[in-house]
Amino acid sequence: MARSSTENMITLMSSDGEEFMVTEKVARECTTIRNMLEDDCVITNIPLPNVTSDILSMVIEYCMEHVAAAEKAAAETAEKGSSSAPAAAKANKDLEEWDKAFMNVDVYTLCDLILAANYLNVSGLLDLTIQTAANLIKGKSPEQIRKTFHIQNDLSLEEEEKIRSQTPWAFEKSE
Amino acid sequence: MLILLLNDPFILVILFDIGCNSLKLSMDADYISDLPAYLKEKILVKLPIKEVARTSILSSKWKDSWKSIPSLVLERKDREPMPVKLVDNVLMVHRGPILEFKLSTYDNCNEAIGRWMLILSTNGIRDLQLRFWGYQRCNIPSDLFSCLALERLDFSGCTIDVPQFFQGFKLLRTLWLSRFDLSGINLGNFISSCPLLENLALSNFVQPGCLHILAPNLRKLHIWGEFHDLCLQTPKLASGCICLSSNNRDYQKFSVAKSGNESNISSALGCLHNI
Repeated sequence: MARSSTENMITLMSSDGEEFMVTEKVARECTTIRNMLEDDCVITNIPLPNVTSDILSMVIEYCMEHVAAAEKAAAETAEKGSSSAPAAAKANKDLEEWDKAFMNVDVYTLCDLILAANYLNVSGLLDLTIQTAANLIKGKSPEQIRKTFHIQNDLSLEEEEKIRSQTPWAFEKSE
Repeated sequence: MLILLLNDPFILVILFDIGCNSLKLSMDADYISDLPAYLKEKILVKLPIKEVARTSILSSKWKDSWKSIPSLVLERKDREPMPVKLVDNVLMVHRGPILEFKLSTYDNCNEAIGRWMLILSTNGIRDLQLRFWGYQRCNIPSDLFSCLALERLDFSGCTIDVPQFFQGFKLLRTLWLSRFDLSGINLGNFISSCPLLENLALSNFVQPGCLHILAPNLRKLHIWGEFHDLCLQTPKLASGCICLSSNNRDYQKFSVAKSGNESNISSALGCLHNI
């Protein structure tokens, strides 16, 4: 992707020591980094001790895609004078499709992405990952949810019965 | 991780070329249960309340997770009833702040609304939506007026008696009222006691005399009801829709008084039409 040479580059360093060079614009998608840059504008190297390289590369991929989509939309608006509604709707749909494909990950990666999106404060990615996790729970029986997320049921039958009796309405069959 | 022991027992080669994911998979670990409580709550608030409560039997780590979600949405889905007992139960087991509470029901809640409002008023409610679809309107108890952190109020099918001590909702930005009776205070005075109000929607109501709306920060206005006259003092109004639903044509006239430029008024009344 062509970038103007005047654009500031920032180096992000993952917990396992891998370095990622990104444009300042992409880095600013992370509110945590944006705040750091605003506090100290000459900063060019940011260590991120809570994010591993595999997860950081995914967060960067997400931010780049969303920055590119926003730039494309802004360029089209500038070119035509005003944004055309069908084109904007299509661009939104494309980005949604991209997000959906991006969320095709295992539950471990999903949980790591939730933690990273929360730590770096990427609100779009946090919403996306939280919604994806909720969708994996939705409509499933407790046993199916345990299987999906590898949750070990450590409750005794008596304990489970006691919990059920606290909210009997939650376990009634609605159909 | 792959550990190779070569012939020479002193040479140990450790290869780290397998990704972290496969490492985790091999451990078959439960990641989601160990997410910080507020992130688990974020996931849970995306689910219908029944499914939220059902997560309590997943494991000991989930037993109490659902009880502290800050947002309770108790809405009837597909005509499924939202009985008083269920709301009682949810509020009884809940712990911690309730910032958002949404209830939509056909049931008569007059007997229960007092204890619900007491709980909500002591737990920092900011966004309150109560929609009563039954024939009988619900009498809102005066504890509502102790909810001073309210930012959004959305009531339907309610009778509201405003007590004398009421000083206004100083943080309220959105007020939506539909099928309501207001007593104890004039509707206009009620609105002007909320100085930050930006978004106002009033529908299915009867207001004898002039409805005087003084709201310095109002941007969006939607009125659909019966009233004789309308007087707007809303300098920041950007969009609005006013529909008069009176059968008497004599009442279908507006008096508009305001200070500031005229363009706001034309935009406010731009979509004016009579029914």
